[in-house]
Amino acid sequence: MTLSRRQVVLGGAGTLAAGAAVGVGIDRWVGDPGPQQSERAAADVASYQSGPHQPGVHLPATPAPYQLVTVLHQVADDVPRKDALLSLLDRLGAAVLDLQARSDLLPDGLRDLTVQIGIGPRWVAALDPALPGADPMPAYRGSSSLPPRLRTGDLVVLVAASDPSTLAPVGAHLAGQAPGTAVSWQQLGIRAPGRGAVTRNPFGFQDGVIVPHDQAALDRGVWIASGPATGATVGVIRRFHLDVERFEAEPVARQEEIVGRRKADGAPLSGGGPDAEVNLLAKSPTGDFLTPAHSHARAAHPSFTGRPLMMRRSYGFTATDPATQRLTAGLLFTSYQNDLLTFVRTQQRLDDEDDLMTYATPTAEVSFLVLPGFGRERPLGSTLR
Amino acid sequence: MVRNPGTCLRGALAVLTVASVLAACGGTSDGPSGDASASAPGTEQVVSVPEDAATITQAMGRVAPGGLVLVGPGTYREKVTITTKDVTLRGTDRNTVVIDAEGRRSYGVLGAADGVRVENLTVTQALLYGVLVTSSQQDGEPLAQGADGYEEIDPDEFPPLQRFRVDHVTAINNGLYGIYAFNAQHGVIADSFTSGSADSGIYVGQCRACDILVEGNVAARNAIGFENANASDSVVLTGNRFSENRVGMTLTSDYQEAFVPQRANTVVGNVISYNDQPDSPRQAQGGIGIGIGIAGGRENVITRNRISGNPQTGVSFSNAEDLPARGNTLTGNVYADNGVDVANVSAERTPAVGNCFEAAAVAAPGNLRATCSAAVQPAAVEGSLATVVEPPGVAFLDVTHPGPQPSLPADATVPEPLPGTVDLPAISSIRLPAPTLLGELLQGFR
Repeated sequence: MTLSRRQVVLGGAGTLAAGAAVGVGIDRWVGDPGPQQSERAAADVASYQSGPHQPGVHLPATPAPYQLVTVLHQVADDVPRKDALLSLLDRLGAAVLDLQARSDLLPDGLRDLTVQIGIGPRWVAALDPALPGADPMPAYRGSSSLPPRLRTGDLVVLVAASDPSTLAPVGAHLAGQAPGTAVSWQQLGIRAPGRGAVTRNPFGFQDGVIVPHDQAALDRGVWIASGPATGATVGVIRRFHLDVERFEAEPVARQEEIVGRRKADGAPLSGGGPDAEVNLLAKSPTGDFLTPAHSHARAAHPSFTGRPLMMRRSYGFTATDPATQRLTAGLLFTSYQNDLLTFVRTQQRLDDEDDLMTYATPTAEVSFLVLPGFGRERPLGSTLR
Repeated sequence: MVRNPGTCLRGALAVLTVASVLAACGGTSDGPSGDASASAPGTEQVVSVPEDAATITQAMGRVAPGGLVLVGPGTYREKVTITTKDVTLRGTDRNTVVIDAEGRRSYGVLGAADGVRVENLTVTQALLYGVLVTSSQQDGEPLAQGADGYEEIDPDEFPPLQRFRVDHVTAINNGLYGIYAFNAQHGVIADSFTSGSADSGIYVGQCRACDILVEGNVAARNAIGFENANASDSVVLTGNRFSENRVGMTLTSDYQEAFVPQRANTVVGNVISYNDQPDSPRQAQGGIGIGIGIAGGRENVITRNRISGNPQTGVSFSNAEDLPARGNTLTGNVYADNGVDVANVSAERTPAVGNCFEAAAVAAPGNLRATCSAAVQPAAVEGSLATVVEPPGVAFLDVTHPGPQPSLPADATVPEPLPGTVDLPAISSIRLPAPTLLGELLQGFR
C-alpha cells in the first residue's frame, strides 16, 4: 500500500498530540520535571550529542528555552581547501565532545547543553558541490538590501541549554576553534514555555503545531537519506525584526485573521481544537475561506508547494532599541529540511501571500548544512572526506 | 488508508449553514443515507420512486447492476449514494424531481460505482457537492481531496472510477461544486446547468488520460464557472456557456491533488463572457472579471471560443507555485469588450513561457505575443490591469434560481451500459459558436 501524504507527513491518523514519542525519555521534557528527573533528562540530552543526528533538530523534543546563534565568516577571500576544512571540522567536533570535561567553561557540568554545527553554502560546495546545502539561498522580500555577511555565512554554531549563562562562554570557546573565521552576527533566542514543540511566538500566537512528529515524517522531509551527508539536514535561520506594536494594535479578530488561528488557544478559525489542522477548503456561505486567503496558516501550508513538512524550531528574542531605549522584538525563524527548496518555495509563497510577513523585516539570514551526527569514533565531517 | 476520524472530505467541516452553525462531518448524514460499502447489490432492473420504493436510497438498495432508478416528481431530502455498477439515476422531469440537501447535508448525489449515470433531475442546497462522481469514498463519505488539504487521495489506492455520465442535471445553490468529477475517467458532463456554487459550477479534478467530455452546459452565477485541477490529456470542453460567474473557467495545477501539472485540455467552441456577476458567492481569492484563468497549466488548446465582456482579462496566464503557465495555444478565438484580451500575471521567479495567441488579441504586456517563442515571457506590471471592484459575496443558498430548464422526456427504458471510452468530437469540425449560445437558459435569472 502506498502511503497517503497524510500518513507520510503527519504519521498515522494525523496525530498531532504534544509529546508524541520521538525517542526514549522525550516525554520527560513535557511539563516541569522534578530535580531528579531533570538530572536524568540532562544525561539523556547529553547523549544526543553523539547520536546519528546532531541535536537541536528533532531532539530534545521540547527545545531548550535558550539558544545562542553564532554565524561566522571566513576572513580570507579564498575558500579554504578541502583538507583544511575537514581538519577544522574535526577539531571543532572534538571541542564539542570535550565540553563535558571543561569545568572552566561549565562549572555546573554539561547538564542539558547541546551544540549543533553547520557549514554555509560556500564551504559545502568546497567539500562537494553536489551536496545538499551547497546552493546559496535566493533573495526574499526585504533581504536583498542586507549586507552580504548578513545574507550568508560559512560556519554556524548553535548552543542551546536551560541555563542561559552557559551559552556565551561555550559559543566563544567553539568559535575560537575555527581559525581564520570571524563572527558575522550573534543572537540569543528565547522560547516561551509550551507544550512539546508548541510555544507562543512574540506576536502572542502559538507556533510549532504542525511539524514532523514521527520517524516517517522526519525521514521524508528532514533527514538527508543517502550519500556522504546521510543523517544531515539543511538548516535555515532568518532573523526578523517584528513590528509587534503595530500587530498588537490590530483588533484581536484581525490578528486571528492574519494568523488563521485563535489567539487564546491556537484553534484554527476553520474549527477544531488547538492541535487541529487548519481546513484549507472550508468556506463561508458567501464564499470566503474560513482559513483566510492571506492568513499565515494558509500561506505556510505545505500542501500548496508540493514539498514535505519541514521541521521548525524558532526562537524569539527581545533587545533594547538604542534609539528609543525601549524593547523591540524579533524572531529567529529556524527550520530544517532535507532539501533547501522546501524552505525556498515556502518562503516565496509567504512573500506573495502572507499578511503576517508585512509585520516582519528580515535583518539576517543563513542557510547551512547541519553535518551528520558525530562522536569519538566518527569525527565531525568525517563522512564528507 | 488511515483517515483521521476527526475530519472528512474536502471542506466537510467547512461551509457555514445559513444559521451560521458549523456542519459537523458526521452530522451531515442525518437524512437517510445509503450504506455504500456493506450491502450487496439488488436484483431489480427498474425501481420506481416513490411507487416501488419510498426513497431513492431504498431504491438504490434494490436496483440490480445495470438497472434504472426512475424517480418521479417530488422533493427528496436525502443523500443518494450509488455504489452499484452501471446504475442509472433518472428523473421523470428535470425541474420537479429535486434532491434537496436543505443546506444541511454534504452532498446530493454521490456516484461511486463504475458506469454511473445521473440524468434529468435537480440537486440543490448541498453544503459541499451537488453531484459528485468519484471512486474515492469510504462508508458513503467521499474523499474527494483531503479534508483539509493535508491529504492527497492516492490514485494507486483508489483507482479512478470508470465511465460516467451526468446529463440534463440542474445543480444549483450548492456550497462548493455543482457537478464534480474527481479521480474518474471516461465520462461525460452534458447539457446541465449549474449556478450559485461557492466554488465552481462544474469541476473536473485529478485524472490523467481523463477521456472526459464537458459539452453543452451552462455555468453561471458561480464563484467560478468551470474549474479543472490536474485533469489532463483528453479533456474536451465544447459548446458550453460559462457566463456571469466571477471567473468563467480555470485550468490549474494544484499540488494538493495528484498528477501535477495540469495539461492538454481542449477548449473549443464555448462562450465565456461577462464574468463579473455580483449575484454569486465570492471567489475566495478575490478573483473577478476574468474569462479563462490558466494557473500553471500547460499545452492547453483554446480555440474558436467567444471570450467577451470580461472586464479584467479575457485569458489570464499565471504560475502555480513553481509551475509555469507553459505552451498554451490560443487560436481563432473572438474577443470583445474584455479589459485586456490576454494577460500574463506570472511571478517573476516562475515566468510564463511559450504561450502563443492571436494577433488580434490585445495583450498585457504589449510584447507578450512577440515573446511567445522566447525563453521567458514578460509579465504585466502590477496595477496595469483594469481594477474591477469586487462586489460582496452572496450566500450560496441565496443566489437567484435560474428557473426551469429543458427536460428530457420521461423514459423508463433501461439504457445499455456506458461504453468503455467516450466518443470525443472531432475538434476540427467544431465552429465558433453564436454569441447567444445557450443564452436562453439564463432567462430565468432576469
